[in-house]
Parts: sequence; C-alpha cells; structure tokens
Amino acid sequence: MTHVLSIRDLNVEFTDRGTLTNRPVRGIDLDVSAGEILGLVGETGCGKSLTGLAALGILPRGARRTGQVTIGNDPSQASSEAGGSVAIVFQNPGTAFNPVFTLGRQLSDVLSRHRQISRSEGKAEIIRHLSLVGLPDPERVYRSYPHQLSGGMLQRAMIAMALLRKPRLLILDEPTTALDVTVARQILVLIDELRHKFGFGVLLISHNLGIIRDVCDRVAVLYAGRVIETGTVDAVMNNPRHPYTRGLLGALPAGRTHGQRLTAIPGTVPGNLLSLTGCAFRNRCSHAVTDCSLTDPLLTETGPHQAVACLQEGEL
Amino acid sequence: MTNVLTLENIVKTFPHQRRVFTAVDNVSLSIKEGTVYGLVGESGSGKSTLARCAMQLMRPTSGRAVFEGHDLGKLEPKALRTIRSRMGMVLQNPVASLNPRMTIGASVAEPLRTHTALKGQALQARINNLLDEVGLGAEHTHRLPHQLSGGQCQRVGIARALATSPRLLILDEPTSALDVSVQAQILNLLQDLQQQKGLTYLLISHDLDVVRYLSDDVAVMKTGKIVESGTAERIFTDPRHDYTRRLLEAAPGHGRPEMADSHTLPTLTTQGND
Repeated sequence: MTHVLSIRDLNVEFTDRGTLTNRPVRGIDLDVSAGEILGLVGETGCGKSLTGLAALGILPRGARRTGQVTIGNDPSQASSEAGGSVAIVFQNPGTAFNPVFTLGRQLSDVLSRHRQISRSEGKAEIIRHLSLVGLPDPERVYRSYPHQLSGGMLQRAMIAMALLRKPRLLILDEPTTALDVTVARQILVLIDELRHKFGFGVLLISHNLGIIRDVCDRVAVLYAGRVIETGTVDAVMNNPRHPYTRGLLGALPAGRTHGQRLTAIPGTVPGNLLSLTGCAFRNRCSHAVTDCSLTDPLLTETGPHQAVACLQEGEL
Repeated sequence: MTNVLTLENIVKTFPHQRRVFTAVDNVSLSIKEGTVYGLVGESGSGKSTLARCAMQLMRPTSGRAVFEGHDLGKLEPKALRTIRSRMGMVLQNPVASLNPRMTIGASVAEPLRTHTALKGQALQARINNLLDEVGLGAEHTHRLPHQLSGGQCQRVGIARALATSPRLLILDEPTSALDVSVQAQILNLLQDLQQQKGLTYLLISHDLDVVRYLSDDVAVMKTGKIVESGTAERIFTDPRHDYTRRLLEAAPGHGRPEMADSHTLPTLTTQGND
C-alpha cells in the first residue's frame, strides 16, 4: 500500500533566543497508508498535537522541526509546503471558525486559495461538499454564521472544509472531544465512510482509547514525545505489552462497576525532556529496574503486528 | 434508609424569544443516604439546571427541593445559607473554577471563613487536613492554580467542596476535562471519600462509563425530562427506553460504529444546541 504520510525521526524543539529549551517530540517514526486510520494516543503533554502540527508544518512560534515528513509523494523536508494534499480538523468546532463570517464565505476562502474557480462554480462546489458530509439543507448552512449551528453540524462543516482541499491525508486532532456521545459517534461514522469513499489516510489524535478502538486500524501510543508501542488496534488493545499502554487501558472505567478500583498511573508526564536519560516512563512504572534509568529502550518488534519500546517487555 | 435529597416535580422555565423554554420539565427523584445517584444525558438535557435548582442556586419555577427534611424554597436566606453548608458542589472545569490570583490555601479557606469560626492556626490546620484528604501535600498551600495540573486543581475543587463537612456532594461533570489516567485518580478519590465519610453524591455526567462506575442509582435525562431511572445495574444491563439504548450504543469503546445510523442526522437549528 502506498503511504500518504511518512514521518522519519521527527523532532520538535523549542528554542528561546538561540538556546534549546525543550524537545517535546523526540524521534518519531510514523506511516499512514491510503484509506487507513492511524490513531495517535497518549496523555496531555505527550506530544500528540505537536506531532500533527509538525506533520503539517504549522508549528507555533519558537518551535522547530527536524527529520523527514513525506506527504503523498512529495518529500517536504522541514518545510511547510505540504499545502493542498493535507488538511486538519481541530477539537473545538465552535472556536475553529471565525464568528463574524458566514460558513460559505469561510469555505470559499479555502477553495479559492487552492483552486482557480469562478464564484458560482465555487458556491456549487461548496454546497456539494456540505451535503457530502451529511448536512441537511446545505444552502442554508452556506448562509449561516457559526453561532447558528450546533457543535456537531460545525464539525461536519469543518470536515467539508478539509475535503475541499482534496486531501490525501486528513489530520483529526481530538475531533469529537467537545461533542456529545451520540453526535461524536455520527462524526466518527462519517469519517469512516469518507475515507472509504475517497481513500485518504487519516491520522486521528485522541486521548480516548475507546474511540481509538472503535475506528482505527492501527495505533501508536505516545509517551513523552516517543512512540512507545505501536501495532494493529487488535494486537495493542488485546495484548498491550508496554506498562504505559496497560496503565491507560486499566484507567478506563468502562465495564467496571461500583467498588472496583481503577488502576491509575501515578505521577504526571514529565514537562521538560532535555535532561532525560533512560526510559521516560520509569518514574511512573512499577516494573522499572536499574537498567531503565541508563538505557533508552528502542521500538522492538514483539509480534507480526506489534512493536514495543520497553526493556522489561519480556519479563512482563 | 432516609432520603438526603428529594426533588418533587421540579420545573424550570426560561423566557426565550417571547416564548417559554422549559429546561427542566417536571422532574422528581430522591437520593438515599450514602448512595451515589447518577444523572446522565447530553448537553442541553437540563442536568446542570436541575442541579442548580436542587441547591437553590436557581429558584425552580415550580416544585420542591427537600434536603434533610427542609423545603429549601421556603427557607429564609440566612437559614438557607446554613443548610447549604451541608451541600457541596464540584464543577467541571477545575482550572476555571479557581480564582487564578488566589493561592490554593486561600481558595480552600474561603468556604471555611464563610461557614465556620475557624481562625489562625486552627484554620491552617484544617486546610492542611483537607488538602491531605484529597491527596495534596501541605506544600501546595502557597501555590497558585496555574502551577498545578488539571487533576490537582480538581483535587482542590473537591477539598473546597468538603471544607464544611457536607453530607451531599453535587458533582457536575467532575472528570470531563481530564485525561483518562488522571480521571482514574479522581474517580478513585471520589469513591474512597464517599465510602470513608458515608457521603451522598449526585453525579452529573455525559460519560456513561463514569456514571456506571460510581453510581448506585441512575436517571437518564432528555430534553428536561427523566426518560428512565432505576438501579445502575438494571439501566446498564437492561435499558428499556429507546433513548437509553441509543446512548449506550453510542458510547466509545462499544465496537465499530454502525454505518446505518449515520443518516439519522441532526435537524437544522437556528439557535445553537442549547
């Protein structure tokens, strides 16, 4: 299968007046194939969103990316030329749109930036896309301001806006976190349908393992800016090998009833990773041994569909 | 078992564009001492409005809220304030619900100054004791909210709610803003506190897994009405109302989404989703 996204040794560094202050993404390798959904999961501060932004080349001020990001067939090394072949949908549809312009106007801006098209053709194209994402009465949505629509409808419009660019890769950053469960489910179904229909690859960023399990084909678990476990969703969810992945799954209240304790992961994600040696998770890990503070484990295949970065993997 | 809180035929309406919008439509429920009552429903279903009516932070249009035998609507403001010290509330956004310019110690001291006569060393001792109960060290007393993580801020929120030794805690989406791993810590803490102190909880959440995990009894709300209520066990294993079933099926982690229901689209509203 052709890869629509290939990331090799991606690093994101923050500098302050020339001095390196933090490196929140540390050597990530990822591949997304056409028509595939790859889930990126981890706690807040693990580098999920930064990885997505770095893939697009839209990092915040003061951040710098190194490594190779290939979208489609065009290698765009450490630059932001990814352009039309990749689109992103953010978490909060209510704030992602500009409140003072109609949706039609905002979608037109995107379209005219990427394609030479007349105004009437543009409008027809936008309305076609609005109905494509399942919005009833697309003409009315076209004329509406963001506050006139519900969160679920805005997120559909956001996806329509992303589709206007005919992306080969769609990055979804917590696309349903701000939505109700039933609406969230509709959005996930829509994404699933669209990727089959158009064959684009999806990088789905979420902290919700339930969502990852439901819609993704493969998953990469991120901790402190590194992929610590990756594989097919079935392999990783049914047989998690890394203590962190196990911790995340154990923290889920799903299926547990009154009285049973959840296995919370003690401590928090380390903030600054510059002076880190050894495994970043060792201070929160109940399986850590002396070697864990000396050696930074590399991703190693443990099965046909799974790779784990843990020195103690064999002992668990 | 006695009922700590009973709501009888609560109705709350708001004027809306020269018409009347009914946020809570004739809701009755009672919460037994030492149990957790879960209230689930989507945004706009009236869960939080009902909770505000229960605490008389908002006067219901009609109906009664009875707490420990007192009809809250009939109490004088001073008596209401005394009674209210026996109810605590934990809010959804732990960072926004703390004053950013107040130290953690000062935030926890606030309810103590309002409702108790504690001063000086006794006050400080109580603050340290409360922080300890929610798993925060005394070193946090002089910190500001921005120096704490979201989970730690929620622990402060719980300490504030516990300050006046209430019998009832209203938990309004206590973990929705948190990561799963932090959510697990907070849920464990809430469960421990409830069991140690014999507290009664009214838990409001849109997350069915959270509600199932903590609750003894559950009510499902939709557009201001309770559509189904019963024991948590019964609601989750044998849901009878169509809407409850739909909610359960939509919850993440319950299998691949069905293609078929993607065409049950929301209708176009002109007023957002509230």
